[in-house]
Amino acid sequence: MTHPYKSLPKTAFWKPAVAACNPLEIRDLWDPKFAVRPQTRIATFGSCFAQHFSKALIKNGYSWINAEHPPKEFSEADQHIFNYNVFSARTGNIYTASLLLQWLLWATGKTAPSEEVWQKSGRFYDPFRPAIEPNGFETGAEMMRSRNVTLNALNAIVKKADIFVFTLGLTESWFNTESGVEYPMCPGTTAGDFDKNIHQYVAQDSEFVVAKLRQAISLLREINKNIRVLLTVSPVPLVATNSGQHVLVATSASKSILRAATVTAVNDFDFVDYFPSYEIINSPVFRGGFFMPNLRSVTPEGVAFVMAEFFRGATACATPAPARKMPPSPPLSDSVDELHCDEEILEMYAELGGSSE
Amino acid sequence: MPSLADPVSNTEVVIIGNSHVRALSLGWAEISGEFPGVTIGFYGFRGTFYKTLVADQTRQVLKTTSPELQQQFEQANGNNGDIDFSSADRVIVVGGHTWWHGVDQRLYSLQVVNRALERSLHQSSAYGLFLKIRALTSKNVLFVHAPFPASRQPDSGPSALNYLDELSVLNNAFLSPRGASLMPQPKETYGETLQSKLEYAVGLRGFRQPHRKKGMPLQKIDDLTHMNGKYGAIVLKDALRSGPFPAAAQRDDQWS
Repeated sequence: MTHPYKSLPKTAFWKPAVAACNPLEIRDLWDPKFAVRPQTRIATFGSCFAQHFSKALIKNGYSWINAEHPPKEFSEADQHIFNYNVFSARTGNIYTASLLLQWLLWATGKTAPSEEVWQKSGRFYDPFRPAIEPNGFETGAEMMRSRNVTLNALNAIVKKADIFVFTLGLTESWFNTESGVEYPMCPGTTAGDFDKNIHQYVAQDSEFVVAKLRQAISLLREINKNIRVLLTVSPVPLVATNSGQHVLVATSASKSILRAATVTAVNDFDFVDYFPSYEIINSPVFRGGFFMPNLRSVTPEGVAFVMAEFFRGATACATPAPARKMPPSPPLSDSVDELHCDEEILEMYAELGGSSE
Repeated sequence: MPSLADPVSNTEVVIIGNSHVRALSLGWAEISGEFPGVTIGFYGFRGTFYKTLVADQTRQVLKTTSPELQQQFEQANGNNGDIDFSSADRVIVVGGHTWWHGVDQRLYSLQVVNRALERSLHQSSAYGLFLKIRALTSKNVLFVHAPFPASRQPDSGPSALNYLDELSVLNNAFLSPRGASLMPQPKETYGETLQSKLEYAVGLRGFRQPHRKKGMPLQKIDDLTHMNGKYGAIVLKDALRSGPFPAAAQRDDQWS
């Protein structure tokens, strides 16, 4: 008598695949649906953790799309300050599936971009990229012109990318009830003024996230019939929650919803895949060892481990062997402090007035 | 302040720069009759010889640490080869920086453009020379950038669209407040693209080739980067006739 479990590979069983292994030697966590070769044109967007992908892709000689170059005179420090070479275009953090959809609708001309401008001390801020430039912009027109440059870049990226990597980060979001737009940050935190009459908190549920993710993916495919999508979920816990729950519980709920949405997307679309960066960092196997002492930021070793798994999977899938042999991924030395994470501004509010109830 | 266009004025000009100084010195030979009251000391050499210049605070002069250059300057100017600003009415720095970068201002915010241009300025050898000059004098300094290379295909060069805008940013944001100014290349010397007209890249131009073989011409015939005396005369006229610069005396702190 036989049954399916008799013919399953080792990786299907916890004991040989996990418990009996040195955690750092656990392999085959990702079996890619499609090849990722060095010459594959890859775009990266999403939450803070998405930035690790772009850095690692560049470091390993992959073709990361950068559609918004800084002036060539810019130093690395300037590039960082002004958010160049962070994502494939200067969108800033895109934390939610619905925010991705909003950016794509604007970039592809399906809907008109918001003309909302935030003003503070004579400077002008982009509500959808509030921290994109230090001290904002000179005028509202300059801000809009800058955002249009980004929208044009995003449109070009969608048309030419082979793989669109998107890292989902949050389910808690803020909308404008009058215009219907979604903000990446709660107004009044990084910039802008909070108005309780029009700024509405939305805790996105599973149905909402799946619907928005489906729409975003379908739109990508409508514009580029060959594009493939690689989804990841950021392993980084929430900085703060407005849900009323404990932030630890809210984090679990949020990540579970995002993770479930990726399963649906992968099942729905044969050109969509999922890379398990969330699992690699958060698995109890690693006993939290990939987190910094704040138990939130991921260590460089954790990032290196995740990306090594990515390149191992990419290389294995890309057989016959690519023209050049992939070097082992060196540990990424980049400090986590160098990442652009708009939501980290919220940490300040815990120190200022957070109640411990 | 006397006008440099006034032929009776007694005006001293110091010109320091790279190989493009040669065009100005050739041009001066053609137009000096129009400026009888003006004397010019030329201190030019190939490459970035600026680095050999040191400020002698005691004597208030710039000196080259290269004996060969010292001798060359002596012969060219009939002095001891030191660059003395004490009696100079105007200081002109030629070359040493790619002043025009083609930063497309439609793509960037003003903050970004300013940051890029400032960084580029700070990294230039002309800026290094400027700091040495500023250590000795607060007199006005006029920058003259290297000419756009000439081309046999005049329409194939980079667009001149943002050229004056970028110079304007440099002048307004960085140079003018520091008692300096950057002169655009005279319009009549280039066309619709940023390429000098071919007529200025013929004949005698540039410094002599150091390792010229016997029988070879003094200059490379195919040299399209150095311009001739006709070009130098146009530039020099513009430079000498440009209005007085803002005083730099109260603004030295900005260079620290």
